[in-house]
Amino acid sequence: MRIRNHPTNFLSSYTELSSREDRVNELTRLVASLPEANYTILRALTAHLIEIVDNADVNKMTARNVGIVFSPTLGIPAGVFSLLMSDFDQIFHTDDGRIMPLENSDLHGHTVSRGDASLDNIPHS
Amino acid sequence: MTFWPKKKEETPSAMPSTAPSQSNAQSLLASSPSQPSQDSSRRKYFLGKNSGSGGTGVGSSGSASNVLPPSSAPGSSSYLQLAPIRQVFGVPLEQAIEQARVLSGYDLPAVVYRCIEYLNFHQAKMEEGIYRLNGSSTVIKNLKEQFNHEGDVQLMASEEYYDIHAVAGLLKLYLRDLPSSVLTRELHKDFLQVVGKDIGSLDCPL
Repeated sequence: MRIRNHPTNFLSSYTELSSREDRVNELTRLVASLPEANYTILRALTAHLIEIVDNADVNKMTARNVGIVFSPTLGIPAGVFSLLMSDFDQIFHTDDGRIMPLENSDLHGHTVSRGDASLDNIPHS
Repeated sequence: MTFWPKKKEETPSAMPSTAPSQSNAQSLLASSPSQPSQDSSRRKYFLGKNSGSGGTGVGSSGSASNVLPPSSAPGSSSYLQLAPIRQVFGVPLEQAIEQARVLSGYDLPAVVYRCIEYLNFHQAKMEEGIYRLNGSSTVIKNLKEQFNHEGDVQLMASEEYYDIHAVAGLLKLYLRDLPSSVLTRELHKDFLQVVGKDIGSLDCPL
Protein backbone atom coordinates (compact mmCIF):
# COMPACT_ATOMS: atom_id res chain seq x y z
CA MET A 1 0.00 0.00 0.00
CA ARG A 2 1.30 3.40 -0.84
CA ILE A 3 0.20 6.84 0.15
CA ARG A 4 -0.49 8.87 -2.90
CA ASN A 5 1.35 12.07 -3.54
CA HIS A 6 -0.08 15.00 -1.73
CA PRO A 7 1.18 18.57 -1.76
CA THR A 8 1.68 18.62 1.96
CA ASN A 9 2.72 15.06 2.34
CA PHE A 10 6.41 14.31 2.20
CA LEU A 11 6.27 11.17 4.24
CA SER A 12 7.83 8.10 2.79
CA SER A 13 5.70 5.31 1.45
CA TYR A 14 6.33 3.22 4.49
CA THR A 15 5.64 5.79 7.13
CA GLU A 16 2.20 6.12 8.53
CA LEU A 17 0.76 9.56 8.72
CA SER A 18 1.95 10.68 12.08
CA SER A 19 0.12 13.81 13.02
CA ARG A 20 -3.57 14.21 13.37
CA GLU A 21 -3.47 17.11 10.96
CA ASP A 22 -1.82 14.95 8.31
CA ARG A 23 -4.45 12.31 8.73
CA VAL A 24 -7.30 14.77 8.45
CA ASN A 25 -5.75 16.34 5.36
CA GLU A 26 -5.34 12.98 3.74
CA LEU A 27 -8.92 12.02 4.58
CA THR A 28 -10.09 15.31 3.11
CA ARG A 29 -8.30 14.50 -0.11
CA LEU A 30 -9.65 10.97 -0.24
CA VAL A 31 -13.24 11.95 0.52
CA ALA A 32 -13.09 14.58 -2.22
CA SER A 33 -12.16 11.90 -4.70
CA LEU A 34 -15.07 9.63 -3.82
CA PRO A 35 -17.84 9.27 -6.40
CA GLU A 36 -20.83 11.51 -5.74
CA ALA A 37 -23.02 8.69 -4.44
CA ASN A 38 -20.42 7.49 -1.98
CA TYR A 39 -19.68 11.01 -0.81
CA THR A 40 -23.37 11.73 -0.30
CA ILE A 41 -24.19 8.66 1.74
CA LEU A 42 -21.08 9.02 3.86
CA ARG A 43 -21.84 12.68 4.51
CA ALA A 44 -25.52 12.14 5.27
CA LEU A 45 -24.73 9.33 7.65
CA THR A 46 -21.89 11.14 9.39
CA ALA A 47 -23.95 14.31 9.79
CA HIS A 48 -26.78 12.28 11.25
CA LEU A 49 -24.50 10.49 13.68
CA ILE A 50 -22.91 13.73 14.82
CA GLU A 51 -26.36 14.80 15.95
CA ILE A 52 -26.66 11.57 17.88
CA VAL A 53 -23.28 12.03 19.53
CA ASP A 54 -24.06 15.66 20.34
CA ASN A 55 -26.77 14.32 22.62
CA ALA A 56 -24.67 11.63 24.21
CA ASP A 57 -25.52 12.97 27.66
CA VAL A 58 -29.08 11.87 26.99
CA ASN A 59 -28.74 8.90 24.68
CA LYS A 60 -25.47 7.52 26.08
CA MET A 61 -24.10 7.16 22.58
CA THR A 62 -20.70 8.76 22.71
CA ALA A 63 -18.52 9.04 19.62
CA ARG A 64 -16.73 5.93 20.76
CA ASN A 65 -19.96 3.97 21.17
CA VAL A 66 -21.25 5.08 17.78
CA GLY A 67 -17.90 4.10 16.30
CA ILE A 68 -18.10 0.67 17.89
CA VAL A 69 -21.46 0.15 16.23
CA PHE A 70 -20.79 1.67 12.83
CA SER A 71 -17.20 0.73 12.10
CA PRO A 72 -18.04 -2.92 11.60
CA THR A 73 -21.30 -2.03 9.89
CA LEU A 74 -19.49 0.09 7.34
CA GLY A 75 -16.36 -2.02 7.35
CA ILE A 76 -14.13 0.95 7.99
CA PRO A 77 -11.68 1.44 10.86
CA ALA A 78 -12.89 3.18 13.99
CA GLY A 79 -9.99 5.61 13.61
CA VAL A 80 -11.23 6.76 10.22
CA PHE A 81 -14.79 6.96 11.38
CA SER A 82 -13.84 8.99 14.41
CA LEU A 83 -12.00 11.56 12.27
CA LEU A 84 -14.90 11.79 9.82
CA MET A 85 -17.08 12.88 12.72
CA SER A 86 -14.62 15.09 14.59
CA ASP A 87 -13.43 16.95 11.50
CA PHE A 88 -16.64 16.81 9.52
CA ASP A 89 -16.57 20.38 8.24
CA GLN A 90 -13.11 20.17 6.74
CA ILE A 91 -13.33 16.65 5.42
CA PHE A 92 -16.69 17.15 3.71
CA HIS A 93 -16.09 20.76 2.65
CA THR A 94 -19.27 21.94 4.28
CA ASP A 95 -18.40 25.54 3.40
CA ASP A 96 -18.86 24.95 -0.31
CA GLY A 97 -22.42 26.24 -0.24
CA ARG A 98 -24.10 22.98 -1.16
CA ILE A 99 -27.45 22.36 0.43
CA MET A 100 -27.70 18.94 2.00
CA PRO A 101 -31.34 18.15 2.70
CA LEU A 102 -31.07 16.07 5.84
CA GLU A 103 -28.52 18.12 7.70
CA ASN A 104 -29.30 20.17 10.72
CA SER A 105 -27.87 23.68 10.55
CA ASP A 106 -26.60 23.36 14.11
CA LEU A 107 -24.27 20.73 12.82
CA HIS A 108 -21.83 23.01 11.12
CA GLY A 109 -19.20 24.75 13.11
CA HIS A 110 -17.87 21.70 14.85
CA THR A 111 -14.32 22.39 13.91
CA VAL A 112 -14.54 25.81 12.33
CA SER A 113 -16.08 28.99 13.64
CA ARG A 114 -19.84 29.11 13.40
CA GLY A 115 -19.84 32.11 11.09
CA ASP A 116 -22.72 31.96 8.66
CA ALA A 117 -22.99 28.22 8.78
CA SER A 118 -26.75 28.45 8.90
CA LEU A 119 -26.75 29.95 5.43
CA ASP A 120 -25.72 26.77 3.75
CA ASN A 121 -28.72 24.95 4.96
CA ILE A 122 -32.37 24.95 4.16
CA PRO A 123 -33.76 28.24 5.46
CA HIS A 124 -37.08 26.90 6.63
CA SER A 125 -37.00 24.00 9.00
CA MET B 1 -7.14 -6.19 4.02
CA THR B 2 -10.55 -6.53 5.49
CA PHE B 3 -10.95 -5.44 9.05
CA TRP B 4 -14.43 -6.60 9.67
CA PRO B 5 -16.07 -8.91 7.22
CA LYS B 6 -19.54 -7.90 6.34
CA LYS B 7 -22.35 -10.09 7.42
CA LYS B 8 -24.54 -11.38 4.71
CA GLU B 9 -28.23 -11.48 5.16
CA GLU B 10 -30.46 -13.95 3.51
CA THR B 11 -31.80 -12.78 0.23
CA PRO B 12 -35.34 -11.49 0.17
CA SER B 13 -36.37 -14.23 -2.19
CA ALA B 14 -35.61 -16.72 0.52
CA MET B 15 -38.27 -15.21 2.69
CA PRO B 16 -41.82 -16.39 2.53
CA SER B 17 -43.79 -14.31 0.13
CA THR B 18 -46.68 -14.18 2.50
CA ALA B 19 -44.73 -12.54 5.29
CA PRO B 20 -47.11 -9.99 6.66
CA SER B 21 -46.35 -6.48 7.65
CA GLN B 22 -47.28 -6.12 11.24
CA SER B 23 -49.39 -3.22 12.25
CA ASN B 24 -47.33 -2.31 15.24
CA ALA B 25 -44.42 -3.41 17.31
CA GLN B 26 -46.58 -5.11 19.86
CA SER B 27 -48.10 -7.48 17.40
CA LEU B 28 -44.72 -8.72 16.31
CA LEU B 29 -44.52 -11.43 18.86
CA ALA B 30 -47.41 -13.15 17.25
CA SER B 31 -46.02 -14.06 13.88
CA SER B 32 -49.34 -15.09 12.47
CA PRO B 33 -49.53 -14.58 8.74
CA SER B 34 -52.94 -13.03 8.94
CA GLN B 35 -52.89 -9.52 10.17
CA PRO B 36 -55.73 -8.33 12.34
CA SER B 37 -57.76 -5.94 10.35
CA GLN B 38 -58.17 -2.60 12.06
CA ASP B 39 -59.76 -0.87 9.19
CA SER B 40 -62.00 -2.84 6.96
CA SER B 41 -62.02 -0.32 4.16
CA ARG B 42 -58.28 -0.32 4.06
CA ARG B 43 -58.19 -4.04 3.99
CA LYS B 44 -60.71 -4.10 1.25
CA TYR B 45 -58.58 -1.70 -0.71
CA PHE B 46 -55.61 -3.94 -0.53
CA LEU B 47 -57.55 -7.07 -1.22
CA GLY B 48 -58.87 -5.31 -4.25
CA LYS B 49 -55.35 -4.91 -5.49
CA ASN B 50 -54.59 -8.55 -5.19
CA SER B 51 -56.56 -11.52 -4.10
CA GLY B 52 -53.53 -13.55 -3.23
CA SER B 53 -52.16 -14.04 0.24
CA GLY B 54 -53.86 -13.13 3.46
CA GLY B 55 -51.34 -10.61 4.71
CA THR B 56 -51.70 -7.04 3.62
CA GLY B 57 -47.99 -6.71 3.34
CA VAL B 58 -48.21 -2.98 3.53
CA GLY B 59 -46.87 -1.00 6.41
CA SER B 60 -47.20 2.38 4.83
CA SER B 61 -50.88 2.32 5.34
CA GLY B 62 -53.26 5.17 5.62
CA SER B 63 -55.82 6.63 3.36
CA ALA B 64 -55.77 5.16 -0.08
CA SER B 65 -54.32 8.34 -1.52
CA ASN B 66 -51.09 8.16 0.38
CA VAL B 67 -50.61 4.46 0.44
CA LEU B 68 -48.68 4.23 -2.75
CA PRO B 69 -45.22 5.72 -2.62
CA PRO B 70 -44.31 8.03 -5.48
CA SER B 71 -41.96 5.53 -7.01
CA SER B 72 -44.44 2.72 -7.03
CA ALA B 73 -45.49 1.84 -10.50
CA PRO B 74 -49.20 2.20 -11.09
CA GLY B 75 -50.96 -1.05 -11.50
CA SER B 76 -48.43 -3.06 -9.54
CA SER B 77 -50.57 -6.12 -9.43
CA SER B 78 -48.11 -8.11 -7.37
CA TYR B 79 -48.37 -5.58 -4.58
CA LEU B 80 -49.09 -8.07 -1.86
CA GLN B 81 -46.46 -10.55 -2.79
CA LEU B 82 -43.65 -8.14 -2.08
CA ALA B 83 -41.36 -9.57 -4.68
CA PRO B 84 -38.05 -7.74 -4.73
CA ILE B 85 -38.85 -6.00 -7.97
CA ARG B 86 -37.13 -2.79 -6.97
CA GLN B 87 -34.36 -4.24 -4.91
CA VAL B 88 -32.34 -1.71 -2.98
CA PHE B 89 -30.74 -3.89 -0.30
CA GLY B 90 -27.59 -5.73 -1.26
CA VAL B 91 -27.23 -4.06 -4.63
CA PRO B 92 -24.52 -1.57 -5.57
CA LEU B 93 -25.06 1.92 -4.23
CA GLU B 94 -25.61 3.46 -7.65
CA GLN B 95 -28.21 0.85 -8.46
CA ALA B 96 -30.13 1.54 -5.25
CA ILE B 97 -30.16 5.25 -6.07
CA GLU B 98 -31.36 4.48 -9.56
CA GLN B 99 -34.21 2.43 -8.15
CA ALA B 100 -35.42 5.16 -5.87
CA ARG B 101 -34.22 8.51 -4.74
CA VAL B 102 -36.24 11.07 -2.86
CA LEU B 103 -34.89 14.29 -4.32
CA SER B 104 -33.55 14.75 -7.80
CA GLY B 105 -29.93 15.75 -7.73
CA TYR B 106 -29.46 14.26 -4.29
CA ASP B 107 -27.62 10.99 -4.75
CA LEU B 108 -28.91 9.16 -1.73
CA PRO B 109 -30.83 5.89 -1.79
CA ALA B 110 -34.41 6.50 -0.71
CA VAL B 111 -34.12 3.95 2.09
CA VAL B 112 -31.28 5.89 3.70
CA TYR B 113 -33.17 9.14 3.28
CA ARG B 114 -36.38 7.75 4.78
CA CYS B 115 -34.62 6.21 7.75
CA ILE B 116 -32.71 9.36 8.67
CA GLU B 117 -35.77 11.52 8.04
CA TYR B 118 -37.86 9.30 10.29
CA LEU B 119 -35.25 9.12 13.03
CA ASN B 120 -34.77 12.88 13.00
CA PHE B 121 -38.51 13.48 13.14
CA HIS B 122 -39.02 11.10 16.03
CA GLN B 123 -36.13 12.56 17.99
CA ALA B 124 -34.09 9.38 17.96
CA LYS B 125 -31.19 11.41 19.28
CA MET B 126 -33.00 11.63 22.60
CA GLU B 127 -33.40 7.87 22.86
CA GLU B 128 -31.05 6.03 25.13
CA GLY B 129 -29.00 3.42 23.32
CA ILE B 130 -30.09 4.45 19.85
CA TYR B 131 -28.20 2.35 17.26
CA ARG B 132 -26.88 0.13 20.01
CA LEU B 133 -30.13 -1.52 21.02
CA ASN B 134 -31.62 -3.96 18.57
CA GLY B 135 -34.97 -3.33 17.00
CA SER B 136 -37.42 -6.09 16.30
CA SER B 137 -35.95 -8.30 13.63
CA THR B 138 -39.42 -8.98 12.27
CA VAL B 139 -40.15 -5.30 11.77
CA ILE B 140 -36.75 -4.80 10.18
CA LYS B 141 -37.23 -7.75 7.88
CA ASN B 142 -40.66 -6.57 6.82
CA LEU B 143 -39.45 -3.05 6.15
CA LYS B 144 -36.55 -4.40 4.15
CA GLU B 145 -38.94 -6.44 2.11
CA GLN B 146 -41.14 -3.44 1.50
CA PHE B 147 -38.24 -1.33 0.36
CA ASN B 148 -37.02 -4.09 -1.91
CA HIS B 149 -40.47 -4.26 -3.39
CA GLU B 150 -41.28 -0.59 -3.74
CA GLY B 151 -37.89 1.05 -3.83
CA ASP B 152 -39.18 3.79 -1.59
CA VAL B 153 -41.45 3.60 1.43
CA GLN B 154 -42.62 6.82 2.99
CA LEU B 155 -42.19 5.86 6.62
CA MET B 156 -43.29 9.27 7.82
CA ALA B 157 -46.53 9.21 5.86
CA SER B 158 -47.55 5.97 7.43
CA GLU B 159 -50.18 5.88 10.13
CA GLU B 160 -48.13 3.18 11.64
CA TYR B 161 -45.50 3.98 14.21
CA TYR B 162 -42.33 2.08 13.62
CA ASP B 163 -40.10 1.59 16.60
CA ILE B 164 -37.12 3.87 16.09
CA HIS B 165 -34.72 1.08 17.04
CA ALA B 166 -36.14 -0.97 14.19
CA VAL B 167 -35.68 1.90 11.76
CA ALA B 168 -32.15 2.45 13.07
CA GLY B 169 -31.59 -1.26 12.57
CA LEU B 170 -32.92 -1.03 9.03
CA LEU B 171 -30.39 1.67 8.22
CA LYS B 172 -27.57 -0.40 9.68
CA LEU B 173 -28.77 -3.42 7.74
CA TYR B 174 -28.77 -1.46 4.49
CA LEU B 175 -25.20 -0.34 5.10
CA ARG B 176 -24.10 -3.83 6.06
CA ASP B 177 -25.69 -5.26 2.94
CA LEU B 178 -23.81 -2.97 0.58
CA PRO B 179 -21.83 -5.28 -1.69
CA SER B 180 -18.76 -3.09 -1.65
CA SER B 181 -17.20 -0.61 0.72
CA VAL B 182 -18.84 2.77 0.98
CA LEU B 183 -15.29 4.07 0.57
CA THR B 184 -15.13 2.30 -2.81
CA ARG B 185 -12.96 -0.65 -3.69
CA GLU B 186 -10.37 1.58 -5.28
CA LEU B 187 -9.87 3.89 -2.31
CA HIS B 188 -10.59 1.59 0.59
CA LYS B 189 -6.96 0.70 1.19
CA ASP B 190 -5.94 4.33 0.99
CA PHE B 191 -8.46 5.10 3.71
CA LEU B 192 -7.09 2.31 5.85
CA GLN B 193 -3.59 3.64 5.32
CA VAL B 194 -4.58 7.01 6.72
CA VAL B 195 -4.85 5.72 10.24
CA GLY B 196 -2.51 2.81 9.91
CA LYS B 197 -3.20 -0.65 11.13
CA ASP B 198 -2.58 0.01 14.80
CA ILE B 199 -4.53 3.21 15.12
CA GLY B 200 -7.29 1.94 12.91
CA SER B 201 -7.91 -1.05 15.09
CA LEU B 202 -7.52 0.71 18.42
CA ASP B 203 -11.21 0.88 19.06
CA CYS B 204 -12.02 -2.27 17.21
CA PRO B 205 -14.77 -4.08 19.02
CA LEU B 206 -14.53 -7.81 19.51
